Amino acid sequence: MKNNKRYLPEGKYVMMGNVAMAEGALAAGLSFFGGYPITPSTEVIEHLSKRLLEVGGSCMQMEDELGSINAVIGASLVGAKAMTATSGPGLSLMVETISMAANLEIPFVLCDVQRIGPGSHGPVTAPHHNDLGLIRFAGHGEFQVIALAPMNCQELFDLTIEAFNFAETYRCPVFILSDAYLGHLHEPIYIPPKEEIITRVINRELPQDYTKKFSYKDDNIGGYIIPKPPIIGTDYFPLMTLHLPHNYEGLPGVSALLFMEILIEKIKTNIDKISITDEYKLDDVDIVIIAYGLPVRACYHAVDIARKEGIKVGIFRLVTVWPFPDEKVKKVVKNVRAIIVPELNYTGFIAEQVERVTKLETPIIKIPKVGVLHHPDDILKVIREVSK
Amino acid sequence: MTRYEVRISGFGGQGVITLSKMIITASSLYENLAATQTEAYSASARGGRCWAEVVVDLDKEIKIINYPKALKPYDFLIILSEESANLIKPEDIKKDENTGYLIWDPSTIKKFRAVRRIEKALSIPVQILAVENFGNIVFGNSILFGAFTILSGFISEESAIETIKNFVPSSTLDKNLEAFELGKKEAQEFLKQLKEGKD
Amino acid sequence: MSGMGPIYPKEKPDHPYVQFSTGGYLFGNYNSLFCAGCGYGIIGHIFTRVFEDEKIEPKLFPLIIGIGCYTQLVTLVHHTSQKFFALHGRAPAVATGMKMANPKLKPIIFSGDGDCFGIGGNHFIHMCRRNLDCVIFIFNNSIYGMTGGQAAPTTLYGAESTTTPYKMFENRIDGVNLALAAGATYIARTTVAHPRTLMKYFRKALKHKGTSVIEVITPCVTYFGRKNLDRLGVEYLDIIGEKMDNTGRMLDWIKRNSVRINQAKFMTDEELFNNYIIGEFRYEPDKPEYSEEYAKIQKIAMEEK
Repeated sequence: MKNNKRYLPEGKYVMMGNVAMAEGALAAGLSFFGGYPITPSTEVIEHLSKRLLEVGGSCMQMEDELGSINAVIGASLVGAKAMTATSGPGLSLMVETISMAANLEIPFVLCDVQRIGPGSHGPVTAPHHNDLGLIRFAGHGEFQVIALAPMNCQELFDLTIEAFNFAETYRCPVFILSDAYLGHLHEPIYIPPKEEIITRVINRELPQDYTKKFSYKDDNIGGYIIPKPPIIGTDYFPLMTLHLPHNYEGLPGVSALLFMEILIEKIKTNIDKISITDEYKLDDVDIVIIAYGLPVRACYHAVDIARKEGIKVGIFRLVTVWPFPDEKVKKVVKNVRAIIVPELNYTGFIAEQVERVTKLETPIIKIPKVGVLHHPDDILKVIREVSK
Repeated sequence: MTRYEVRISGFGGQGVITLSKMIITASSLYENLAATQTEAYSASARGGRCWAEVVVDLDKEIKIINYPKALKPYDFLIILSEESANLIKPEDIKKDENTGYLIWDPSTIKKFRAVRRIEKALSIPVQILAVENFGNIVFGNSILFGAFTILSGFISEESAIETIKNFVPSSTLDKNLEAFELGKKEAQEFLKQLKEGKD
Repeated sequence: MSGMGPIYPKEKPDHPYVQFSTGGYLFGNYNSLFCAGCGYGIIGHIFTRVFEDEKIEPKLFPLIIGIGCYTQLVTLVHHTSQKFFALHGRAPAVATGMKMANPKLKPIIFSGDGDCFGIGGNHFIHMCRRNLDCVIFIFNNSIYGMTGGQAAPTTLYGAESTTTPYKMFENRIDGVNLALAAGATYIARTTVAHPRTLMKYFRKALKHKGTSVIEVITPCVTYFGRKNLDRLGVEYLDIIGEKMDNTGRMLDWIKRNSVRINQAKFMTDEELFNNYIIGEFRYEPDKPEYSEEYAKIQKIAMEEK
């Protein structure tokens, strides 16, 4: 694995999920990582402690999660692509800074390797998609975030690059929703050649126009313009970085309502570009499964078996979990008899969203699981029951 | 279904996880098959009950394994501790032809109840063999890997040797290859016996 | 500057440095937002003066400001400085990220006693431990001024505040001792009653490679002075004190309560109780600095095959 270059040579590798994520971040141009060890995300900081230094970046083990996220913000402010990785308890500590960063539109990527339960003791290496409830409105204040949910090690690599691109483009916190199981899964992954990766990456650059430093609403075009992130140490930095409503120069004097509108609508109006979804055997369905992350893999297995039995079932997979693609879901569930939502949590954060979008016209069956993966039989059982 | 489900369990420190990584490396990197590996983590990986699972899809067309955990019944079981042996039931293992193998270590398992009702059970005293022939129990991994290569039948010998080269330090490579041959021999004899038994 | 408080008559004061302040230079607004008798005006002036006199390249010295009354120094500091408002107590962590992502920078941090020893104590300790190249000012007015006069970790024994209406009975933290133990390499304490010393220390800190901690004792007349008698610190002398409800008395009290480090060596603990020892406590310019050491490790890692 030793390599002086940022990009691993093209080819196939067997990698742990956390390591694949770290390699994806390196390929995306990561140059600062601030972290604090927390099971099950520790392999990320372990791997980057070695690899990031080889490419001349800094990998800091900070004093706590508050320190790590603030160091990430500091690094992002001086023009570095920065990220951190943590798990549930660490994320809770970080939300204060996440709110501030979202308000000041400082881009960064946070990999959340979700684990079971609220506490710090016990079987913390079991998967549990319990952080989505926190992430979608992460912190105080109003803003929108982007959350991506990979389901295998290859996607952990690819979607991490995508996450950095989203952070650069939309200037909002971008989350990668991994989990304890996915983080420790070993799978072969294909690393594309360097030239191909470079074409996929959006770099941090200085813009032509130095006057606009924060997002604003352009009434002439009728849209929201997101300028490049300002960089300390260049001329392109605002006079002030106020935590309160500010205009595109960073000065006060914009209504709070308009400020919130800009922060939220700059994401929502671009939902077509942000929302990545995947469809599987959805052409002629009676029953649709809406899922994200690891449970999707059990669903593929179950759907293959059910299709052989003649049950018309398909999968609508959310790769971008948040923002929730209302319109796409409306289209998918139009003529179905039932919707199955298997989630690795009890609440059903996505099931709630589906309920909101479908206005409860279609029956929604949740399959909650906590700490253990969905077995394909669990899903198959529900599919068979529903199809009767 | 062309999934090939492998489960290895034993104590932490016996090389359970290394062996599983050798299997996934050989099958995915050198044989170009889709594969996943999962393992026990944290305290249990360092002591106590330790396990690892590998799923390989023998169909070359398939690029990705859907469900990452090994599903029962298994195609291949390697049991290295009494604690894990007690949890095995005969119906956990496939009964089809050319699959459903069990390897267990009589040097660490005194009593294995289910083994009498498992048809294709091979006992190799891995720890004793490794210590007596090579001086360290770490060579047990290569013995087991040799036996796995022969019995599973989807890893070619060249891929297996390449994998060993990847995993062991070059100073002990020769000893490891010897151990690998030893494991192969055990498995080949076992297969011969099985054949004779059927005839 | 709308939204930044009332705008007073815009006459330009007869002062050579006020024209370089952010509010003055850019908006023609020469007032400050501080209460009468506050020490932050002196600090803002000193910062601007050193920035201007030393011809500091503002892009290399980003200013990270914590949360407290001193956040409003933003209108008084030099208009070219690049300012970032950090969260409460997190400024040292932000500075660490900045310095490590771009080692050419030397962050200057404004922090308060509650900010630095209360909520952000951990970040402060670890920044000092790493000996990260930056300057941190800790403005110690021994009270939480912005929230309305609550007790701080530095509040003196026996003082009254809104959360200690009977009296403060907790032990106070000594920021200099904390920095000494944590391993900062330039540590000094002075007061706003000694502005020239403060200027000297700031100039020295700017040239120093490593963490420079400068604690500045500053008066808060509104929330500390009005509630407390000037006998604080000399209780053992049985003096009947007076309320410190104006700047004169407050500065007098600070001067009287500040003991030079050379003098303090010959004083008993009882005599030093509730007093501030001022002076330079440590200056070790040869100690390895974090980002330089890190660069060496990076070089090893990059050359490794």
